[in-house]
Amino acid sequence: MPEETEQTTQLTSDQLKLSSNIANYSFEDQKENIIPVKQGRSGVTLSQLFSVAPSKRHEQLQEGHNQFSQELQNLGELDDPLDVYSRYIEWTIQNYPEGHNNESNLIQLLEAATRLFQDDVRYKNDARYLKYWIQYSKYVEQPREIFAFLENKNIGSNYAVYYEEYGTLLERAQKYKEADEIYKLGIRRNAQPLERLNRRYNDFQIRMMTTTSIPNENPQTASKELINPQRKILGIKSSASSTKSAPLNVALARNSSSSREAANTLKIEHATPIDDNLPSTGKISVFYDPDGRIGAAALAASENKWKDYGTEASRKKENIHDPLKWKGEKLSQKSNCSVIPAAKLEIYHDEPQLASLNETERPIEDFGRLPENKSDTSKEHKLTRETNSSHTLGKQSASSSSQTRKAKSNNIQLPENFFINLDQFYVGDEEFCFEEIRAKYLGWGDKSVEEEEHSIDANVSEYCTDVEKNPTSNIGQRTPIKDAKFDESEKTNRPSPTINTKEALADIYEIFSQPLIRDSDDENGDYSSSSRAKRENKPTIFYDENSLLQTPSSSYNTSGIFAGQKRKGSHDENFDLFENSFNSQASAKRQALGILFPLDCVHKETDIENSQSLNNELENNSCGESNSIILRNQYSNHRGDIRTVPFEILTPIDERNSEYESGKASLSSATSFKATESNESTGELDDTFGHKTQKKVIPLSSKSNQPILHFQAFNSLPGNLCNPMDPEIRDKFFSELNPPLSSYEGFYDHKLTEFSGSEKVNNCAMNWINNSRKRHNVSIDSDYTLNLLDDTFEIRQKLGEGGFAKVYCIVDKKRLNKIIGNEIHRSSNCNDKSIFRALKLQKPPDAWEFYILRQVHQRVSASTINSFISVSALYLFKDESYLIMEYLEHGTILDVVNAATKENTSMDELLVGFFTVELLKAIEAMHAAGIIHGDLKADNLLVRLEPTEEWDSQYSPTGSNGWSKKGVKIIDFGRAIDLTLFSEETKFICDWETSEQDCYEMRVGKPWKWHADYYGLAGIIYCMLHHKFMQTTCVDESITRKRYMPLLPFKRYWQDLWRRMFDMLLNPSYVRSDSQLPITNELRDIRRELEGYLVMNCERNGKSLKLMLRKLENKEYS
Amino acid sequence: MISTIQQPIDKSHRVDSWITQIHNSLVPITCTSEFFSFNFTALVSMQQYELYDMPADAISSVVFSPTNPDLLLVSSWDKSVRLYDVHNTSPLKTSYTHKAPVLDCCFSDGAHAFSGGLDKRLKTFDFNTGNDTILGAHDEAIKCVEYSKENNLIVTGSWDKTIRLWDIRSKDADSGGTYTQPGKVFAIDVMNHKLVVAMAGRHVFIYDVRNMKDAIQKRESSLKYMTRCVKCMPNGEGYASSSIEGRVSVEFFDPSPKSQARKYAFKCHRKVIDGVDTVYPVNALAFHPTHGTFASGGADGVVNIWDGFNKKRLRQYPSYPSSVASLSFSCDGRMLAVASSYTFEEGEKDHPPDSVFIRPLSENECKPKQVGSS
Repeated sequence: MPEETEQTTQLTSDQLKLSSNIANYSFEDQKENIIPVKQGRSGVTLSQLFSVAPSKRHEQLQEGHNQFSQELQNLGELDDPLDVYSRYIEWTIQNYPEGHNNESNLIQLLEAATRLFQDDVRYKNDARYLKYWIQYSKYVEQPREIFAFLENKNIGSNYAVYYEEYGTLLERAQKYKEADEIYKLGIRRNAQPLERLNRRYNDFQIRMMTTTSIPNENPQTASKELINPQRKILGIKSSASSTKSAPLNVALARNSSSSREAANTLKIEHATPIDDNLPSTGKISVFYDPDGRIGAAALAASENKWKDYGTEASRKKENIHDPLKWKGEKLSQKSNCSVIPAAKLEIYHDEPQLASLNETERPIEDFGRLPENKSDTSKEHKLTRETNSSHTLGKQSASSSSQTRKAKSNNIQLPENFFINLDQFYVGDEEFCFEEIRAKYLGWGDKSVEEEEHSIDANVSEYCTDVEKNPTSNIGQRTPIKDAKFDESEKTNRPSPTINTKEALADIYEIFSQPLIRDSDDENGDYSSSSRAKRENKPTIFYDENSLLQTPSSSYNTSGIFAGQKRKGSHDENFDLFENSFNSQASAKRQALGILFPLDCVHKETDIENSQSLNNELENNSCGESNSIILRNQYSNHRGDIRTVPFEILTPIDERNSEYESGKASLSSATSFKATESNESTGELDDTFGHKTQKKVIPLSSKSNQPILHFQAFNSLPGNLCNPMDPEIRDKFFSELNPPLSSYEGFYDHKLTEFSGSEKVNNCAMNWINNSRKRHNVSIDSDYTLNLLDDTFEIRQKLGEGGFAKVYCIVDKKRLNKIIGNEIHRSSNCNDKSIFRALKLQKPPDAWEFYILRQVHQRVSASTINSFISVSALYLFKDESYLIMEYLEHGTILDVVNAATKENTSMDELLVGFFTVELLKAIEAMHAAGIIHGDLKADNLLVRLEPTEEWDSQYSPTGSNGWSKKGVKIIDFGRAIDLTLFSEETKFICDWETSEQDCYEMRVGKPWKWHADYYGLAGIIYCMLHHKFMQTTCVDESITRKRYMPLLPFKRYWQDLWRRMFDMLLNPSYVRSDSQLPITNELRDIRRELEGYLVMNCERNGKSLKLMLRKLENKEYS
Repeated sequence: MISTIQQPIDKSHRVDSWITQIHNSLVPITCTSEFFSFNFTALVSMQQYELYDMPADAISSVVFSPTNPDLLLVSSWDKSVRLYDVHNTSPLKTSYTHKAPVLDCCFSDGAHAFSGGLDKRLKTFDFNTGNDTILGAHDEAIKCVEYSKENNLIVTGSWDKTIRLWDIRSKDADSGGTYTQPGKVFAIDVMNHKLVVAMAGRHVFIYDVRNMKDAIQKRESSLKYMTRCVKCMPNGEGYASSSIEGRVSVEFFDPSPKSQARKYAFKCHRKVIDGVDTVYPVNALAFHPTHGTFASGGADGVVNIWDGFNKKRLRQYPSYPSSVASLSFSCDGRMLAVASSYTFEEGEKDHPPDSVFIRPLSENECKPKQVGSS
């Protein structure tokens, strides 16, 4: 509606004056939203626009749009359709001061206007039309394309505006040369108004003068102008590589696939007027088109090709998303850049202390590819190994291999060293894995199980000792044996010739008592420890290396046996010493050299004596190659015990008193392998070395008139020292006893008659075992009866054997008959334990144990009385004595330990604790009663598990609730001492050969008293805990103080009180500040502590003390 | 107009900030509660512990039951094979013995164990009846015993340079056959139908258990020194092997060059002592049954968890008192058994007591880390 628009314009012009001030006000705050227009904006329109409310303004504008769109519908009927558009555009520009937006749709409007008439000849040279194109170009990303398009369509080419705008555009894009060409083109084409164009061109040239004078302005362009000044507008670029000089080409190339043809068209089109100026190069002649035919054809082609410039929407179409539902859409995230594992990463070295649980991950170091040529590396490896044959081969090869590795990759900074010794695992061409080495070491390497099974019977275990005697051990210091006082701490200070003394013996024993493992530690670790070698069935050799200077004459050896060497599993070449290996099967040798000692006799004193005779031999053999002589002796021991090998079952410790040796020799009946063996050994001993007995300081037998005891033990009861085992002392005791022994109940004294029943008893026991194997049913046969005076007993199996006594199980016929008389079924009687007794057959006879046991039972309080074996009778004959004691079916602690070892379990700490408490109680009571047992060991301790009706699972230290029925029973009081018979100061020394199971003082010949029991107690506990006989080590706290410790460490989870207890028991003299013994009170305290632990833990963590005891109860130990 | 544009912007801002406020207030609350509950359970159940009633000598192998995650089989140099219930306070359930040290053991199903050792015999033990039976013998000690589930076979490798198969269904000892190898067998593992045999002389042969006549592949070990352990990946694509020189290699069965290009080896179990990189033997490997990551244990007493896919170390546990002799993941992957037992690499010496540690694993402890999707 033109009228209406006129009205509005009139209105606005009317209002202009009226409201200029107001108008200023009304759009003052909106100035930022108004796009400046070249020709300016009407203030009235603006004030009108911004004075109305936005919603109302929107309505108004919408109305305007509607009007124009109505007009546009009738476009086809108008003479000047562009006019409608021109008004619409003007209106839009005026009414939308913010420029193009979705409401104004200015761009769409311009597009519509320009596209509609692009092929309309009427408007080819219409200023308005051109103006809209130029306006449109402002909204286009690549305005140059618009101009190229217009050029192509030949729109507005007569107007200076085109060239001016184009030139300005290029100038703004710093394409000065092209701008210059455009200006020139316009001038040449006589574009109107030419004057303005000229002026603009002049201005441009002036600007160009200033810009080109700035050197850094666009050096490329500038230099091109210098180099190529002849180049003309739209001419051919001189350099094919330069795209900048061919703006149209570039512009078109971006636009369509036909750009080349279009470009050609352009060039051809414009070539005609300018060809004169062109340099006559080959390139240009190609495009030369004098006829214009090609140009026309090309033009036609170009018109086909670039018909339409396309709308903004079409250009943007790639950027426009089709509307999608948002639900479930994922917003694309910026993708993480992936970590590409680099070929070479920083090397990470394991630092030992850096390890922590929550450590952040680290890249695996050196993920390098494996070496391609593997055979090479192996060769290399072999080579390096072959070249090194020395001892340090492993290390060298390791380092050389690390060097080769280094050569391959620079990753390694540090030299590598193998933790293991490669030599051990690469022998010759063969590899050995750890397990093989271990198996070999343990002796499994070349032995089949079958062999082993067979070999058990003839098992020969060897024991060896290394005996070294420091020549400097003193003699001057040596106190006479009579005093038997030794100060071992001083003996290293002064020289002493070699003399067989107890002190010297003590030194040797001390060496013996050193555990082998420690030896190896001391010896610079040069050879592998021999501690395990005991397991081997084959002869083993123990090496020793000693740097001590020793004179041969001072060397002690317990039994010098020189035999051929057999080295096994050794890695060492550098032993220049004597090695003796003795195979017991080489009986000839053995006989020649004379001695075969059972395990228990290893430390026989006599050995020491005998060995001296070998010293000369030794001297001869030593060849004087060095000052050191090391004797290696092996004791071989026939073991009849089948159980020994696989489990290292502990066998009871034989005690052997030298005074009975001769008597034993006559005890020839071989009831067991062991018996024969011990006979053999003792017999041999006498045979071979009988002639040397005179050398002995302490004679073997007290029967010899040499006084063993140089203390006055006989008349007045003792001086300070005493051999408690001395029969003469005992005889004296008996004679002075008040009341006399004969008054004791159950004592049958027939000292004058010989009985000689031992063989019969032995045979009976053998038969019993044989028969009971055959016949399942136990029947009582008269064959087995033993008549001791008026009493009849029936011999059953042998229970055990001591050094000079045997223990049998017997049936008390009297009692049996009584029960039968009560008409109880016979078969059930056999299971009644009350009919069984234990018979201790001792040869030679001994009444001592009977006496002691009676004394114990008299003196000890009722609460612990059950912890001591009770004796019912003693039949004493001239040659034998028969001690009848109560019988306990559950065996000894040693049996329990061995049974546990067999089952590969260990005695639970609770159980050990229980027995320890019981044992401690008993010993406390015994010591309080003035009795020392003197021979406490695991095989002298029976397990007492009496049946009980009520038995609470909660442990009770007081013995209530049935706990008193369980415990231990101490047996074998053969060595016991009744302290009341001696004066208080009396201490004892022993004359029997000691073993490691005897206390330290006994072994070194020092006087002892309670030590023996303490040590024995420790030995029992150790045995229960570790399933091994106790070995101790010695720590020097100071020169005069030595502290003994058990060899094996306590397990981590065991209670600490074990350690304290052992410390007390092994070092009893350190317990009290005044070093006085006994330490009964201290032991009681630690026992109470242990009791407390038992009370707390007797039913904990699924363990129950009661159940464990019940398990023992239900087991059969025979 | 402008204000209408601005308003929504303002609103959206407000809404946004409100939402973030909610988040700020809510997120920490939920986090802390999760954190606490997690930590609580961690404190209760995540403690590593040591098993009681250990064998008296060194431990040669630990294996978890394939069916019951609580049952652990332990073979030892004290000649015993013991079955433990790791969650019980008195864990030792049952045991049986050989006549010589036992070198390896395995489960077949949940109720039978197989073991072999220096006595050269393969023994089986029925947990239900408590009977042990000798199945047969090698000429030399049996170093390794494995069970092939797919074929219901026991595979044993021995120092007599043979592999023997034992069909446990038939009583005939020779049912499986004997296959001579070029070297003493040090380690084997079976996965699906593949059998990997690592031998002395760095031979590594790969067999198909169904056709043992010829090895599918005969390889030389990628590692320069003696192989200690071989374990197959749970996905059956390859295997990892370890050597005495502190290296582990990961290799693949597929002989195609593309697959072979994926193999690699890496260093581990080393300590820098006095500027020298001390290399420890890697005694044990174990693959996690579900995640496919693996653990390695060395003579340095350290256990590492590796992510073989991403070539990363996931964990390093504080070192154990003695060499790590054997490792095993429970079938549910919730526990790792570590046998800390001196492996005799230095000959006879004084060493810490032999023990088995049970290390409960949290959900993601052995999970491979996700690397960015690309």
